[in-house]
Formats: sequence, structure tokens, C-alpha cells
Amino acid sequence: MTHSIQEPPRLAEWLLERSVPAGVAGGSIVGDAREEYLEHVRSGSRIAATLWYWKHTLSLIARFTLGLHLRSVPRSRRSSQLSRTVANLLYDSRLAVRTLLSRPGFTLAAVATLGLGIGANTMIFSVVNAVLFSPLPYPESDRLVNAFRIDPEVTGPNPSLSRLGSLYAVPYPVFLDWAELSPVFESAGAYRGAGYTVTGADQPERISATEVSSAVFKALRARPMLGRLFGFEDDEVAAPPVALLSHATWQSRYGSDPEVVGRTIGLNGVTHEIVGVMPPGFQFLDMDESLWTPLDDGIKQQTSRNAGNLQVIARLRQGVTLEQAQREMDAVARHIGELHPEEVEHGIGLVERRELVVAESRAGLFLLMGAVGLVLLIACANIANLLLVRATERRRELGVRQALGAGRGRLLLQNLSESVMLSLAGGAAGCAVAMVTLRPFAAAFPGGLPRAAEIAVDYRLLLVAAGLAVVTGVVIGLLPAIRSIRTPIVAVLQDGSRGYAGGRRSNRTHAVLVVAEIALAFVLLAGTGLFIRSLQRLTRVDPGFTAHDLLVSSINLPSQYRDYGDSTRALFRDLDQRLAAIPGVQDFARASQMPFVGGWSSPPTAIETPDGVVETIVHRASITPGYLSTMGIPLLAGRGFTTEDTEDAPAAIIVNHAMAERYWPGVDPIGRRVMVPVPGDSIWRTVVGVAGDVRYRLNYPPFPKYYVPFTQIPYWYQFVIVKSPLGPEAMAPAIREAVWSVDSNLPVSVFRLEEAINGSSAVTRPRFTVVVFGCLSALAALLAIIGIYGVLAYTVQQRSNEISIRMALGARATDVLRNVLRRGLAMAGIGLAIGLVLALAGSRLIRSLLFEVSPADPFTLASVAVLVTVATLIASYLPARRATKVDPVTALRD
Amino acid sequence: MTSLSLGEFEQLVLLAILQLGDDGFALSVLHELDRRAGRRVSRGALYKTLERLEEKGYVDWDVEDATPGRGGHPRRRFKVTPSGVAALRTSRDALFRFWHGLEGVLGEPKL
Repeated sequence: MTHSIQEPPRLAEWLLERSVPAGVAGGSIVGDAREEYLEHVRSGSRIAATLWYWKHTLSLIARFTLGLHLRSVPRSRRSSQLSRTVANLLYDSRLAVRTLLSRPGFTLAAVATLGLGIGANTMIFSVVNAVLFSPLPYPESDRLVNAFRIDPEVTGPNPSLSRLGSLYAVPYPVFLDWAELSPVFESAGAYRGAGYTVTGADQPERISATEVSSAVFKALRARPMLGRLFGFEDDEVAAPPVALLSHATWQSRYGSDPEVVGRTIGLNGVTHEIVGVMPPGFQFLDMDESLWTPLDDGIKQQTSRNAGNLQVIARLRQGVTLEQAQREMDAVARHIGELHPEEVEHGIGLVERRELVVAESRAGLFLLMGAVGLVLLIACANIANLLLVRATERRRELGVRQALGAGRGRLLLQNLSESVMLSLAGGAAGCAVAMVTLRPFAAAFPGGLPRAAEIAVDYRLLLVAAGLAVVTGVVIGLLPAIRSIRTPIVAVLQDGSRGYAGGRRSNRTHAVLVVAEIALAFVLLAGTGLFIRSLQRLTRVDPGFTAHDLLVSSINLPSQYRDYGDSTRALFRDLDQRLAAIPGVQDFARASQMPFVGGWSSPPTAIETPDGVVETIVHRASITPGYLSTMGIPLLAGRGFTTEDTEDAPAAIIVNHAMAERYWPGVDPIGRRVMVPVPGDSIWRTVVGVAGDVRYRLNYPPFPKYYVPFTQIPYWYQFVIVKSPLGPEAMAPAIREAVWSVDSNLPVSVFRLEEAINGSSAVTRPRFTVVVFGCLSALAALLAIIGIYGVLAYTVQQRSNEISIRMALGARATDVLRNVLRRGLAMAGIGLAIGLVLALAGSRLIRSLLFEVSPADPFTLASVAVLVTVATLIASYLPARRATKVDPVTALRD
Repeated sequence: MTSLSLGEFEQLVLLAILQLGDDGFALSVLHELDRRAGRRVSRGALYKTLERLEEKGYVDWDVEDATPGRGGHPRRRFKVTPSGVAALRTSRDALFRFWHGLEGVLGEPKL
């Protein structure tokens, strides 16, 4: 039996020790509990014993502390200090609950406001904690890094990884050198995402997979649930095809068959032997991979050291820091550079695996955390204001109690207990809000929140909500509590039935809180305004083609057609004829790569520039003659492809504007040459035309790209683009029919290109930000407006005496109106000024999330300021009008 | 004090301690109450009652050496004081006077 098993729960024992009487008597009670706990451990499970111990402890605490409370006579000297404090607290909270229940409207509104505020904070915090802070679900995951080729000269798109510049994928031979030469890697594996068509089943189906070298699993320290992982023999060229199933695939496709190892699965027409099943929850690429296969033979045989297509993951040796590892890899990079002068010069960059996974979401999540924090602050200010009003009303009561000898500390605690009770109720509501919204939020996060599967409702969420509730309670209650006990007793008691009005200072406190609310609400509204502007700019970006009326379907031929030659050509010629015959098709074309959709990765290309031949990676698409016109991509110079560009015709290519600018600046690109490596066919191809630029992501500038005729370089992976005013619902059956008449084993899905653009993360992320920020800032603005209204209404009520005297002396209604409005506007003005300063100070935080909009965009800030001013005027108008309606006679008589 | 100064539960606890002799530990009392009277009581109730009886001067305790498994915490052995015995006696006598002659209604006591 280990030592720890004999120990009862530490927290419970700690509590017990503090609630039993002091001395031997109490000690013996704790000892009894321990003794019984041990008996429970021996006779049953540890969990049952722990549960028993907690139950026992709680009932003893209740007995010793509550029992004391029920008798008001002073107890024996053995009673602990804690007991007395707990009793006081219980008394105070009971009083607080009764007070709160006597004003259900106020209580409900406050609890709802706090519930929303605390709930939103708890939810976002839980997400942030799970995604950004908790370790990845692999053993000693802090030692996992990803290694990239880097070009420190070129800044990459990801700001938090930008210290490394641009990150590039790694060619296989280079990966092998790294793995062998690195003194800091315990193991290093290479992988890349892949897609397969499952063949041999009733319905062909696309699934996502990852190709991995065997060391990937070693680096992750993964273990299979059934069978084996990949071994070194699977890294060999021409090794027998094998696959590892994910737990979900094993369940759905094989009905959790325990004998699945040794069975086979058809992938792209090749039979793979299933060698193992991974445990549930094992994920690698943070997407739902259905299975894993060893790296493709094409990759294993690659000799070019310039065309990267692999990601590299490595486990650092024990005790090696990231900085040390980076220094060692810098040396490795220099060494490899000397060994291979033909290789493009580059460095090696190490990125912590977790950083890589979450980096893209970090800015957005932190921003949200800030936003919900502001909303909670505003809610706090509002409720503090309400409590302040109540405290003023209750001054007489407190004054009397103070006069009768109640200590200040005691009164302070009693005041605080009310606000803490309020916020605890808010915390409970917040917990419910967080639990309900947690999963939908994670699911709605566009482009998928990384590690979403690890987000769970657990005790930490409860702890966060409880902690927030207590802090909130103290924050909103402290000011009113301190103010109410500071009031001179005499002043309160002398003041007669009218109640101590609180005077100028009290009003100033109200105003300060409202000003703070306006300032914070302005910050949030400004953020929303900027995001809306940014989204507008983004959606107005010209992608370089007309997506309207275009339907896309992807076709991935099984391996028997993959010959870069006649059978691929013949099959697609057949398909083209059938597509042309479909009624309702205005135009159609095919391409191996599509903007916003994807496509085959491009091999390196040799380009004949004025400065010599450059070998580099340029995006490339193999297209049919109708592609440019179907897509609406303009031809800027030269000619497009025609049916004359047959396989026997001179090899031709079309480059885009960006490519022409980059490699032939100031020179006519027509007639220049490019070599595209196709197995067995490395010839120079001549540029015959220049096409307009096309964006692959709305927020990235277009990059160089070129097109080759499909007849000259046929691809087995093709997008069929059909122009038709009829939607996918009408056209899909005919397109599917056409494809299946060519090969019934092909999966076909048809979608609108516009949907692909609007659904791309470049658009959905900002849209999500706008929606979430919009909701939060609307809530903030509403709270602030209620705050202004409340304070002015209260002031008007307090000053009704003064106002009526003024009116009796001849003040006009408009003067009174103007007076109140001026007060509202003054608060708004100061709030806006502070908010503007805050917004500008925080602009650095959101710069990376904005597209072509400055965080200090004057138009946006001015519009928001006008909006806030108008809202203030409206909120001030109602109390102001009421002020003019004060009847001097009634007011003076009361 | 000739009236019933002992509650029923207090009587049971005192009697259990007497029955246990040298073994009057709180947990043993608990088991004894369960065994003889079929009374499952919460520890809190027992400790509170022992505390009350001690205040009244009916029980007293000495400290037993700590046994392993109590984490160094002491163990109290409870004893009934002479005045506790006297109180029990008073209680019993008072009750017996009431019980006496009711065998016809209640039947013979089962031991």
C-alpha cells in the first residue's frame, strides 16, 4: 500500500480541522475520521472512501458551525474562530438573500446581467485554457517541435511565427539529412495530408488521411490500440501497402471488429492491409483523419532537394531547450549548405508543436477574451451604480445599526455579502450559460478551432465561474459598502424622513461609473466598426475571376488511369463530350487547380529569366482551352489555349501577370521558356500568353502561377467547372450521371464556386469576429445606455425639490430640459475622450486581424462617436422630460 | 434534579460507554449503538452529544496513544463519571416507575 492511499482528501481534512473544536477533542475527531477512512479504503474502493470522507466532513462541518449559529448564547471557549466567522457569514447571507428577494425585479435584472457577463467570460476562458494553455495530448508534449525550411528575409503571414520569416515545406532528401545530422532530435518524422477515395465498397467515398513516416508515431510516443504502428520496413520504397485506422473509422466502417487487423481496405484502387487501429481521441493533424498510410513511393524516391512537400515533426532530446535546439539546427543548415551547393539556400526553423497548432487562433481568442472582459466590467459598473443607489436609500438603517454599536468591519461585510450573493447567483447562471454555449461556440469557430475535441465542461469551468463571481461580487459591492459605512451617523440620523440625499459627491461617483461604461462601450463599438469595415473591404476584393453561376465538381481518377498519357486523356475526352450534351450547360472547362478550392501540389519548375535559369516552385494548373473564358479570367497578352494545342503541338504555357512581373520584369514574357518536370518528358515550353491574376485567398495578394494545356500534361485530378444559371440541385444529377457513365467508381460532389469563396476561412473568420463582436458591443452599448438613463433618472428624482423651486421661480421647461441633457452629454463627452485614448492604445492588438483598414480609421471612430452621442441623447431625453413635468406643488409638499 | 435530565439519546450513549468498558472510543460507541439499539447516528450528532455530556459532567475522557493510521491524531477513551452513573440511575428509576404495571398493555420486555 503506498503512502498516498492512506491519506484522506487533503482539502477535506483541512476543512475538518478548522471546523471542529480546538485541542485534543477536535484532534481526536479528525483522527476518528482518518481511522474510518482507512477502514473504507480496505473494504472498498478508494473512490468510495473518498466520497464517504467528504460526506462525513461536510456533515460534521454543518453540525459544528451551523449548530453554533442556531444557539445565540456564547459557546464554549473551544469553539474555533472559523466557526464564528462562518456563522456570521451565514447570518449575513441569509439577510442578503431576504433583502434581494424582496426586490425581485432588481435582483432578476442584476442576476441576468451578471450571468451573461460571467457566463461569456467563463466560456471563453475555458476555450482559451483548453486550446492555448493546456499541453497537447501526447506524453511530454513540450518536447515536440515542427521543423521547417525558412527564409528569414521573407515575412510569413503568421505574425506570431514571424520571427522565423516564411516557413516552407521540406523535400524528402533534405528531411533525411536533418534526421540523420541533427544532434538534438530524439526522433524525427515526416508527414503530409492526403485524401483517398475508398474503393471496393458500395459507394465510393472521399476520406482524409495523413501519409507519415514511421518515426512520426515514435516522436509522438503514440501506441496503437490494436495491431502495430508503422515500422522502418514501411519506410522502404515498394513496401507492401498498409494502413492504420482511426478509432472512429474502425467503429463506423468495421463495426469495431476486434479481428480487423489483417483485413484490407481499397484506397484509390490499391488494396491496403490494415495493420492497426489507433486509440480513441488520437489525432495528429488536428483534423478528422480517417486513417494513416506510409509516405507515397513518389516521395520516397524524390531526388530534388528544392521541391518541398513534407512537414517534419520531431521530439527533442531530454533536457534540450528550444533555443539550444535552434542553435544546433542552424549549424546543421550551414553544414548541409556546404554539402549541397545546388540546393536553394535556406535555414532550418524550429517551432514548438503547440505553438504551430494554436498560433493562428491565438489573436482571435485573446481578443474575444478582452471583449468579454470589457462587457463584464461594464455590467459591473452598472450594477455597482444600482447598488450605490440602494446604499443611499438604506443609510438610515445602517446609521441606526452603527449607532447601536455595530462594528464597521461587520457592516462592511454585511454590505458585501449582498453583492456577493447577487454575483454568486449570477455565477450560477453564468455556469449554465457557459455550459450551454461552450460546444456550439467551439463548433461555430470558423475554419475549425484547433483542439476543439479537447474542450470540455469540467470542474475547472465551475472553478472559473465561482472565482469570477466572488471577484465580481467584491468589485461591485466594495464601493457602495465603503461609502455607506463612511457616512457620518449624525448626518444620517438628523436628516429626518427625507433620507440623506448623498449630495454632490455621491452624484459624482455615479457619473464616474457611467463615464467608465461609455468609454469601455466605445472601445468595443469601435472594434466592431473596424471589423465591419475590414470585412467590407475583404468581400469587395476582386478575386480575378467571375464565380457567378459556376458549379464545380472534383474528380480523382483511380490508379489504373494514372499514366500522364493516353488513357487519362481518353477518359476525359469521353467525359467532355457527355458534359457538353447536358441541357442547361452554357460553358464548361476543366482544371487541375482551382482558386479557393485547392488542387494538386505543384512540383518545382525551371524558369529561364534574363539572369539565368531559376528553379523554384510556382503554382500550376493543367487546363482545357475553355478554362479562362469560363472563369472570366482576362487574357492580357498573347493568346489563350485552343484545340490546336494538342499533345503533338509545340509545348505551350500561359503565365499570369504576377509571374511575368516577378521573373521577367519590364520584359515581354511571350516567347520566354519554362521547363515543367513531367516524368519522362522534360522539355522547354514556350510562353504564348499572359493571363490576369487570380487570388487564392482574399486576404493574400495573388502569387505567380502558370497554365499548361491539359492535352500536353494530363492530370488525373481534375475540377470540372460548369457554367449554368441552374443551381447545383438541378445540375448535380446530370453531372454525376455523366461522370458515372465514364467510371461508376468515382465519387462526385457538386457545389457553387461562390459558396467555396464565401465559406473560405479568409471570409468566415472575419465574419464570425464581426458577429461575435457585434453582439458583445451591442450588449455593452445597451448596458451603458441603461446606465446613463438610470443615473439621470435618479438625479432628476433627487433634485426634484431643487427643480421645482427653480420652476416656481420662473425657469422655463426648456432650461430644465437642457440642463439634464447637458449632464448626459458631458458624461458622454468625457467617456468618448477616454474611450478614444483606450481604443488607440489597444489598436496594436487588432492590427493583425484587420484587412486594409487602419485601427485608427478616422471614419469608423467618428461614426461610432456620433452613434454613442445620439444614443446618449436618447437615453437622457426621457429623464429630462420627466424633470420638466415635475409639479412644484407636489414636489415641495413631499 | 429528580426530573428526566437525560435525553433518550444521551442515555443510550452513556449506556453504550458503560457496556464497552475499557473500549469506550467514539467509533466503538457508534458501532455499539448500531449493534444493540439498531440506531445509525451521524458522527456529528454523536460528537455533539458527547460534548454536551462532558459539559454536564457526565462523561470524561483520557487520551489513548495514537495508533498508526490516525495520522498522528490522538484518540479519546470516554468514561462515564460517578455523576453520570447517578444521572443514569435517576433516569432509570423515574422511568421504571412509569413502566411498572404496564406489562399487560406492552407485553414482557425483549432482551
